[in-house]
Amino acid sequence: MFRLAFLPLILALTSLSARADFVITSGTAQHVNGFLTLSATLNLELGNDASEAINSGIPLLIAVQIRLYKKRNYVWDQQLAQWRINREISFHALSGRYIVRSLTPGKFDSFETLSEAATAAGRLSLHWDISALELTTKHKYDLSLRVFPDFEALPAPLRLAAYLTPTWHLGSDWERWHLGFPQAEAVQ
Amino acid sequence: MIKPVHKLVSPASAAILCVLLLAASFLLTITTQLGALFGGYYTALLIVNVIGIVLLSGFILAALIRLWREFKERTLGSRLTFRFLMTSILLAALPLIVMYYFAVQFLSKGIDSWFDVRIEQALDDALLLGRSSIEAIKTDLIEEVERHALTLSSVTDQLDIVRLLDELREAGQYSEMSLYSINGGIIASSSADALTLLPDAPDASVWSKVRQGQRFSALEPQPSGLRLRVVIPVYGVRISDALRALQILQPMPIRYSQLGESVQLASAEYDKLQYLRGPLKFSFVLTLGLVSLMTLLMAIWIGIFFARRMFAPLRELAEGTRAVAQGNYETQLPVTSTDELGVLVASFNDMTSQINRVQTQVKTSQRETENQRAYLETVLSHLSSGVLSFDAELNLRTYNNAAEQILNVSFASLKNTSTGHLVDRLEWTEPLLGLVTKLEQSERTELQEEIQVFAASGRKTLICRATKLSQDQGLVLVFDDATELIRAQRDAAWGEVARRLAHEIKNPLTPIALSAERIRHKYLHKLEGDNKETLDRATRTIAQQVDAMKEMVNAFSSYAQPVKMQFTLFDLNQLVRDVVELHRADKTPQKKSVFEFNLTLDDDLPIINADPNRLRQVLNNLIINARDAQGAGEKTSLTIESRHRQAENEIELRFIDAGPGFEPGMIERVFEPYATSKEKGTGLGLAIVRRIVDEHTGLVRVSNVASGGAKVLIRLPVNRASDLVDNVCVGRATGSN
Repeated sequence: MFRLAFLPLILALTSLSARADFVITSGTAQHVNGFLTLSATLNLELGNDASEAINSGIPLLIAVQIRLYKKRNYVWDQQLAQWRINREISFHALSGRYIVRSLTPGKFDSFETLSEAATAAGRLSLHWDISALELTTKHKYDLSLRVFPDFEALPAPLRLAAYLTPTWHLGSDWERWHLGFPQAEAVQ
Repeated sequence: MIKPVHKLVSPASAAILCVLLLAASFLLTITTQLGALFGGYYTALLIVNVIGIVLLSGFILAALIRLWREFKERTLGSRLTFRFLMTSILLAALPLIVMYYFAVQFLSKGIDSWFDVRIEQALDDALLLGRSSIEAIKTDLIEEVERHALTLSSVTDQLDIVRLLDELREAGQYSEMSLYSINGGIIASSSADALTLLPDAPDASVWSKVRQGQRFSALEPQPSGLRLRVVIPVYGVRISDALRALQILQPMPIRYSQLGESVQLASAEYDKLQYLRGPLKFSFVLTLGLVSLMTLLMAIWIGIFFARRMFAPLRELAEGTRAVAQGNYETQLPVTSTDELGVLVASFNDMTSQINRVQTQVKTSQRETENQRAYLETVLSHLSSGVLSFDAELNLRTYNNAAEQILNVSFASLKNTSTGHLVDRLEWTEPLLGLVTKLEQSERTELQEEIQVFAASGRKTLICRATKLSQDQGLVLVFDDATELIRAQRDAAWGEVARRLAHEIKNPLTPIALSAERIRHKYLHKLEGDNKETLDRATRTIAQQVDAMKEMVNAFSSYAQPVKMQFTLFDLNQLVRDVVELHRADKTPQKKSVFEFNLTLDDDLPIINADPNRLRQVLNNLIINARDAQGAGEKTSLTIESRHRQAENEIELRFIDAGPGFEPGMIERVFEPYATSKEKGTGLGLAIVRRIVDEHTGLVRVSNVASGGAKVLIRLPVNRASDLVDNVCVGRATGSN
């Protein structure tokens, strides 16, 4: 019982050695005929805590947050839109395989190892309609992206530990790319 | 303006806060359970609870600091409030801590009891059984796929392969059967789902195995259930034939899938619970701790609120009592309750009302008494009669200004002094105070006598009346100074005598003198020898005696008749010099030149407004008096001094002779007519001097000089008010030794 009071501290100390992070290794964003095409590779290094939780049957929701900015010269950039894509990694005990479920859009894959599942979950290839935003080549646009584990999707008892334990803080920094207009560039 | 925290938080808002915090605690308790309805708000509720606890702690801390400050400052009621609060906290905290301890123990053991080795083993066995069953199916499938691969190894024609795949798939009831080149390219495929355009190709890890000549088989979970995937390398008949791979996808039977999923879910849920055992305990303990802490804080808060409310009447009562002790009898306290404290406060209000009423009456009586006393003192102070009052023990109680003025004594330091002590201090008051003793010892209630006292200022004639006060409260002595009155009466009597004497004597003197002159003129030259000498001596004697009698009568007239004063401005020094010069020139045989004048005159003497003829008479009388006071032929002197008393604006004249001085007992009577020790003279000289000085509202005083001789002192005002010019004032002549 006494140890319970120090659980967050113990968790923090034991997980410091196995620190891992999510890193956005590459990515491109293009605007083609009113559609946004995003390709990115996310290196999702799950730490011991997250891996152990997945192996214990707790699904881990990985959220990808995307923001589209309109560049401005003298003031801060204007945020035009924001999207969120969720991917869930879970363990299927009977088959012994790791399932990657893309919630938006719906996709279901299973992998033999967790690292394969993480790699698969880190492959982003998205294509969606943003014609409503009416982007023009007169302006410049940036696309920002970050990826992080969604603690609020964890079971309630685990949330506090996740918030208090550094090894659970796997989220990446914001990565920003220029939104290309291949057609316009081709014309030029 | 910023309000203090204890004023900012009203009881209503505190109650609302408590209710909200209780609700938050309740929701937090619910969300702590796995899969609860409000599970998504767990973190938010946790933060709300922590903020609530911090807020509540802040309020309580502020209230406790305020209470502690009052306790240190010994504010009334703070000790009781503090004691009550400490007791409340103790009563609330002790059971809460005990309950918290046992609840944590119970929770911990309860959570541990969820996990049983046998259940875990059963679930593992079930999972193993499921896997074994699936493994058996998979093994059968692999054997089938190997047979199919052998069949396909000799078939190279594309159409034959497609046809063969269709046949084999239908025969084996597979969902999909595909043949791939070793590079992953699709050679042929057959699917049960006609809508499937592309086969579900194996991923890279599968291909790496196949390229190494290994078989791949796996049970794959799918949204619709479980599926078996088997990939087998297909070798050609000829060595040159390219390596190919046959993949068969076969869904597990529904029954198998359902049972397998059920076992899998149960096992997964158990594993999850086992993993969450620690965090779950911590979460429960944390929630329980937060709720317990919040409950304790609420109890303290409520304790503070009720302690203040409960002891507010006592505090007000204590403050009211202190106010009453300090003399504020108008204190009224608000009656806020109908309980015993309310009755106590109401009784206190009644008590202060009654005290205030009585106090007001007492003050009114005191004020009336003070007014009476002030009135009496005013009357007494304005009385010309002296008043002394004595208590039953004959101690001096009160006196008035007139008593001090008449007796020329300050009674301020003699108040509450007994008559015996007064007589010891002021021996000359014995006749006056003896009257008090006499009345006190007699049965009479009133005594009236005329007495004489010899005060420092001279002999006084007092008309006294002593009266006993009712109810044995002492006695009062009233006396009037009749000295001046008696003297005035005596002066008036003497004046009348002088006037009658002058009238009766002066009239026959002229015929006597004329008759004597006629006899002398007619018979002197006719007589011879002794007869002539006798007649001559007789007629001369008659003439001389008539002259003497005339002189005496004129002196009587001067004394008796009021003279019209003629005030003019003149130099008094010059008048003194003139008179002295006249006396120096007087060389009559009996007045020889052995009498010397010493003049010490003030050069700054102002011009005086007075009657010079009357003052000349004063100077003459005093010089003659001084001259007559010495024996014939004796050498003596008279010193005359003048000076200006600026403070009083008076001129002072001093006459100091070198004679024998006044005889004892004469000083008091020296200004009375015929009060003289000389063999000759009318005895009116000094009486006339005093009368003239009185007419000038001046002062004359006589005394003996220690070195021998007499001294006469005269003070005259420099300016005379016009309305007093014609009046003859009562003189202030006094005598002293």
